[in-house]
Amino acid sequence: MDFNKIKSIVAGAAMALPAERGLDIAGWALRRTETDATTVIRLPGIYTAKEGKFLRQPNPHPREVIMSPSEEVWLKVYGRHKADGSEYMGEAIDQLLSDDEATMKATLAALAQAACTQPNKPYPVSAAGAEFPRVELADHEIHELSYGALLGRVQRFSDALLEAASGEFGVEVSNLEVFVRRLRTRIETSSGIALEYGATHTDAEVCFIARFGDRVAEHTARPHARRLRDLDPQALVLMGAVHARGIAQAGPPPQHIGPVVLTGAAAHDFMKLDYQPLSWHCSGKAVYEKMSRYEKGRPAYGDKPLAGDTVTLFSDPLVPFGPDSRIEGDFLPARRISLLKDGCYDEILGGLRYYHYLGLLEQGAKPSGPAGNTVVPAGPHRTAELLGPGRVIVVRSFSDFRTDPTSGDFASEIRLGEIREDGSDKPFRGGLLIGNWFDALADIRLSRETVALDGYYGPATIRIGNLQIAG
Amino acid sequence: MGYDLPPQLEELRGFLPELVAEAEKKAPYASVLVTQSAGETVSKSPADERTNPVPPRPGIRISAWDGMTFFSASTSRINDRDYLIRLTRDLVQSIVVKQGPMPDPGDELDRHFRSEFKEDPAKVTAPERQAICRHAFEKLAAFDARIVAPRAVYVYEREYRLFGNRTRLLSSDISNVGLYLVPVASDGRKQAMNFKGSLAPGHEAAHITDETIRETAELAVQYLSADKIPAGEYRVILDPDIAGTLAHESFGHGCEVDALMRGAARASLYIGKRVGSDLVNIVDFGGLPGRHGSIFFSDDGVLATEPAVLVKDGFLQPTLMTDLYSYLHMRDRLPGLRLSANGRLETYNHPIYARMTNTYFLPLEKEKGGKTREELIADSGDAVLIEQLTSGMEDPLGWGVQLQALRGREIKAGRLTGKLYYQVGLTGYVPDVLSSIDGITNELDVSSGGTCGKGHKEYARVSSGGPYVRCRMKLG
Repeated sequence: MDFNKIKSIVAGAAMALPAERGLDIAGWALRRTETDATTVIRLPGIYTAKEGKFLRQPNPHPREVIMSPSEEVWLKVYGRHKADGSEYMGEAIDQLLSDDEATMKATLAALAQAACTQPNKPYPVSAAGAEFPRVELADHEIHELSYGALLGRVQRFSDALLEAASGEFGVEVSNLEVFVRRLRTRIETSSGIALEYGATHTDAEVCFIARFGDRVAEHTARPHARRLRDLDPQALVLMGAVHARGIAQAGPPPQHIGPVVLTGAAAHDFMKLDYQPLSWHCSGKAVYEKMSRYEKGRPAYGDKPLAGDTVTLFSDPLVPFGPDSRIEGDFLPARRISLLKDGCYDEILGGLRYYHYLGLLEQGAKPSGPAGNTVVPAGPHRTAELLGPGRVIVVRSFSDFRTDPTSGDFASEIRLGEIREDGSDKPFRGGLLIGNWFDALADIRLSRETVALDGYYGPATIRIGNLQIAG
Repeated sequence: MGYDLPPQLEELRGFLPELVAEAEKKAPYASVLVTQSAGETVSKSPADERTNPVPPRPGIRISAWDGMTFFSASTSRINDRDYLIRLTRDLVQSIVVKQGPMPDPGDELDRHFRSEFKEDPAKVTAPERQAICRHAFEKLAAFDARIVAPRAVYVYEREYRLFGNRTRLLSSDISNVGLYLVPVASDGRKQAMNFKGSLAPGHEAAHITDETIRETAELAVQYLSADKIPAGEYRVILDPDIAGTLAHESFGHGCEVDALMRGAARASLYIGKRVGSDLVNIVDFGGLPGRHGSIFFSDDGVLATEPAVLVKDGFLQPTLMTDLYSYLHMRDRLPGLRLSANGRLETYNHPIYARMTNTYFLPLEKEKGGKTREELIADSGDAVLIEQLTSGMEDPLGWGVQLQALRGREIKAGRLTGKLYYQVGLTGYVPDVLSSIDGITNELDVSSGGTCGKGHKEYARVSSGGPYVRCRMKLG
């Protein structure tokens, strides 16, 4: 579609709508995303069962190869209206399916109509004079490759991973999926924002199966990166194989009340904004609607006595090549903000609307837009210190860690844990780790060693004072 | 011929055979799938009311089989026929046909399918949807001052699909409507959230009574004083949605043949063997009319006319859930395997996998011992009635299962005591859980709706359900 033509028609039609239909447009924004995606799925072996055992036959052929060139253009319209002597505002968004003038005008009018029925308090629609940060989002090595060359590069990556796995005792890669997306985004708004940038995403899903006699277990790694070269086949296989072997050799879970150490993927799940309740409680909408525990400067762990480290946690979309990095979000410049500062609530996640409703714009604050990478500064403790002394329960991964967004309660199944005692590690699986995310902040210790894992940059190991494992 | 499809799909439908023919100049088998959406969403919360169209997100996917591998090209540019022909030529130009299993394109068939509903949701206007949300919002808010953040959402989604291969030209127009109530209660110290969804193919889903709205709000307030359940193993009665999700997570994911073929499902060692008590009968059936997971044909063109029977009288069956790829590679390796209508994709540019649709336990007829819900409770001694699913997670190789529910109700000596537990996690070892099933009710309820991922991606709309099921699980 001709983006310049679309912009010109939308701008003209938006000016004419008040006179033609009595609809007052407060602003509009256009976003075009051109995507060139390549997907390769490989099943290195096909398994059958015979006499209670799995048999594997090598399968050198990919399951599926997908090429996907696409283009999407989205139009967002902000509308104003008056009722009962008050001013109201709304917004609506839809995808444009063609650059045909009549079709576009109809879509614009429908969106304006929808926006002008929403009884919301007015809010600003653009950050005047916004300056957008420079953030590295694109893998320059693959961004300009032809489709054939990119496919070859993906194939080499998958070959290298399978080759690395072939040397692992008792471990096989049972499924390997690689997704590479190259995107070019262009934005134009009625307020004069004009922005164009490229980005890449390389995601993989690697299933490792470990077999020891009758014991068999699967572990799936799902790394995300901006650059294909940040997905290191050797490191992925090493970590995946260790994990799969651990699950295969694991025994039943213990009954336990007391300290629990979360490490690696488990620390990631516990801290990452996607899974824990902080992004909800620090969201402008939740704060404005009084659904949140947020109170600037107050401890997130409530009135419990602090028994460990104070946690500082950033939403940071500016990390170079971070999986959750961005230049803009909802047409706003991306910005790093601290949600927790020394254990206390600090800034608020939100756009212009809720920053305005909460009076933050008027205090000079800049809206943050959506959440970015989760960044937690390193703690003071050596990992070895967190793992001892005496009997320690360590959780390495969860089946699906979730907290209730309102209460912060969680009861999540442990995928792999270990009981460390007298210098030996006894792996276990299953059982529920039970606790409350906010209460945990009152008694948490963070490692000095850090990890960069799928958009989490922070302590590799954390020890929480009082959790329960129901085995 | 008119099918009441969006104009561009109406035009594209007749063009699919041309694309298939172009691809089959080099590939021994090809198919084309087109997807597009429509509809409207209205939501109302204290500070925000929104009315927004469901974006169409049109896309086409052309797939060519070389004997071993599917090569696919997908694009959003469905209007440009010359481009689609060029894309198809580019796709198949380097294909080298290999010796391998060949798909059967099926009998000749040209059909259009459409959801049956009581009230056409396309005839409902935006102001009518807004009025429904505003009414529900106000009723929730008015129930108690502790309801601090009520939310009401009306979702109307239309899903169009076209499928073509050399013998088949299929199209469908599937409608789903949901009205969701989400009251959040707070006493200034603790917060709690309740959830109630009403789903149907048509606007009839939106007819929730004021009494139901009141009960939904009342539960949110009750959660504020509810206890956490003491961790331990319990006799539990699972409501139909949670029971169905137990089926879904245990022998649903575990019976997706693409999981079996990559060695990731222990079920392959147990085909024909006992995996649960005699009361365990689990099926997946996309053709069950008007459910949230219902389809008319799979994304590789298989009509959803018969259920995949997964577990029968406690024994795992060979009639598992297949997509075309897994069926082609496994049909000679797994005797009894059939091509089922379970090949589904998240969006047009994603792979097709073996996926569930509507997965459920079969109820037990009254004559064979099936009880009513009340009889089952009365027969249970001390137990916990588990209601309102929030999530589930599978482990088809390790046979673990994790379920999360909003509430548990205490049962003592066969009677509900009124004691409520808020947010209950359930876990167990699948064979132990299914073997412990010793009570089932006699009515089928498949009225829930949600999405299911394959692991943590590839989301597809599904439903689960069945009767109330009594078993033993670990709670926490």
